[in-house]
Amino acid sequence: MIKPRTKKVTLTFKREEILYDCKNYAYVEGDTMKTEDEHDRHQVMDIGEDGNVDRVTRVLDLAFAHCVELCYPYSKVEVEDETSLDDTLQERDELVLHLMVPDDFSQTTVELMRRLIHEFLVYKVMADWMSLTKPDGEAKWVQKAEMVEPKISAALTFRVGRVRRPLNPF
Amino acid sequence: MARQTITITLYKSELVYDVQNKTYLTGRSRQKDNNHEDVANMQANDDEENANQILRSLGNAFATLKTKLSEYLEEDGTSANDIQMDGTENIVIALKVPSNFNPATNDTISAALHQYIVNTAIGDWFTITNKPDAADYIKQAVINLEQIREAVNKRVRPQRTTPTPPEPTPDPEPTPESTEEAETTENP
Repeated sequence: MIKPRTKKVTLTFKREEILYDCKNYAYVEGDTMKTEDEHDRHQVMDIGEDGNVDRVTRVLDLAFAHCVELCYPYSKVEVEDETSLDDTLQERDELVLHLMVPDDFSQTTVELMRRLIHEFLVYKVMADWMSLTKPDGEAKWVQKAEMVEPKISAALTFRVGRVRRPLNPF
Repeated sequence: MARQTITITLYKSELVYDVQNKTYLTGRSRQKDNNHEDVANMQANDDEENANQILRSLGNAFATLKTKLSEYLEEDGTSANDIQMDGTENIVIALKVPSNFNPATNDTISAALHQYIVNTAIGDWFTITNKPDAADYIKQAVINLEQIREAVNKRVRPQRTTPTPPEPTPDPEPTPESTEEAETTENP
C-alpha cells in the first residue's frame, strides 16, 4: 500500500522581488542600447510603469502557472466538482507554490528549486517585454528560460535516500 | 507604479523680457549708418501690435510643446479656441512622469522649454522684421525640442524597496543518514 505523502513544501515568490529584478535588468538593457533615441530607450526601461506592468502581470501569472504544472505530480490539486474561472487581471503580492513531496526529498533540492523558479519567472517576463520593446534582445532571455526549465523538472527527481525498487513488482 | 507630477511654471514676464532683450541686442548689433528704421522694427517692445504678435507666437509655441509632450500630459476637455493667450497669466505645464523618471533633468526641461518658446517667438518675429536671422532661431528651437525629448525620456535605475528585511536562509547541513548513504544515493 502506498503511504500518502506528508511533507509539505511551500515556495513563496514575492511580486516585488520579481519586479525589482525585471526593472533592474530592463534598466541595464536600455542603458546598453546602441541608440541615440531616448524614447526607444525609455520604453525598454519602463517595464514596471503604469500600464506596462499589467502586461508583466499577465506574463508572470502564465509563467507561474507553467511552473506549477512543471512540478506535477507534487503540485497536483484535484479539480473540484464544479470549477469556474475567468480572466480578470489580478495583481497578487505573492505567488505561492505548494508541493507535497516524497519523504526523502532533500532540503537542498528545495533551495535549488526556489532559486530556479525565481529565475525562470524573471526570464519569461523579460523575454516577453523584450519582444515588445527591443526585439533583438528577446532571444537571449528566451534561451535563458529554456535552459532553466529542464533544471526545474530534473530537480524534482533528486532524492536524499536510495530509491528502492522491489524485486517483485506485484 | 504611481506616476509623479512635475509642475513647471514659465513666467510670461521672463519669456517676454527674453524676447525683447534678444531682439534689442540683435538690432543694436545690426546697426549701420542708415538703417535706423530697420533696427527699430526688429527690436520688439511693449507697443500693442508688437506685444500681440509676441503673445501669439508664445501661444503657438506652447501649443506645439503640448503636442510634443502629450505622452506626459493629462488633460481633459472637449473644446478649444484660438483666443490669444493673456499677457499676464503664466504658462504652467504639469508633466505626469513615470516613477523611474530621472529628476536630475528637471532644470534641463525647464530651461529647454523656456528656450524653445523664446526662440520660436523670435523666429516668428524676425520672419517679419529681420528675415536673415529668422532661420537661426527656428533651427535653435528644433534643437531645444530635441533637448526636451532627451531630458523627459531619461530614467533612473530602480531602487530596491523591501518592506521587511528577508531572513537569511542558512545553508542546509547534510543529515547523518544521507552522509552514510552518499555513495548509494541518486542525490547529485
